[in-house]
Amino acid sequence: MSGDSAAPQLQKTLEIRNRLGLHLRAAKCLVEALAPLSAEVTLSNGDKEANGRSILSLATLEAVAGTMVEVRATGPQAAEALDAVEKLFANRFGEPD
Amino acid sequence: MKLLDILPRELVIPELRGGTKEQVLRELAEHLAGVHAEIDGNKLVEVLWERERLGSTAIGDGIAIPHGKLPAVRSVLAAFGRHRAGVDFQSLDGKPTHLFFLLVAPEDSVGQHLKALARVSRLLKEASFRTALVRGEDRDSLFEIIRAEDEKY
Repeated sequence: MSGDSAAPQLQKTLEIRNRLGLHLRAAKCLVEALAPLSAEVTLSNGDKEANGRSILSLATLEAVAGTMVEVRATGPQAAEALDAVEKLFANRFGEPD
Repeated sequence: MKLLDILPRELVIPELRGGTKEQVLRELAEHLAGVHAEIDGNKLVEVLWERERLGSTAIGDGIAIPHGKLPAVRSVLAAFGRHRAGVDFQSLDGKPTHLFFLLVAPEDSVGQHLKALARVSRLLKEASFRTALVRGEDRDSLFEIIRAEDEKY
């Protein structure tokens, strides 16, 4: 059995809901939320793809409010990682609007 | 969007001299105000400082992207400053910050700001680009390094 097939990939499409979109501070929130989790997280907006552990990479997504972002997670804590991303998107990264 | 659409050669600053975060923000703001007459340098420093209070824009790897909005500007403007010795900008990785990309957007221009941020981030993802900017000799060579990288993508 190969290691790859043993690591299931979880996936969800989530909407960016805060008015400012995935700007620098939001990207930092995401990186900090994922830091303690053992999971590889990839976010994509169309053909742009970003590593959930890199602020610079996330900032290249150019994800404005209303963007549907595909989030994929693998690793021992993939489910927790996906939950963490979903929560942050849902509460607008703690922003008021 | 290309970075050079919003970053003119005269706003590539090869030698930032400020020794503190506040001094560097002021230097960047004054350079931008010197080229764009509609900008009030003092007001810009205030706006940038307010943003820094929400959390440092120094995201590690020697990079900071200080930014803010001003009603006086009509489109996104940029400046780049390089600090050879590095400044304590309360960066995420605790290391000194050498490369500063300043972005100033109009009010209610979320899309434009994100586009400019995405462009700067795309270029800065390349470690070789960051190293070249830290080492570049003068304004002309820094501008050439940015121009060459900006053309690649």
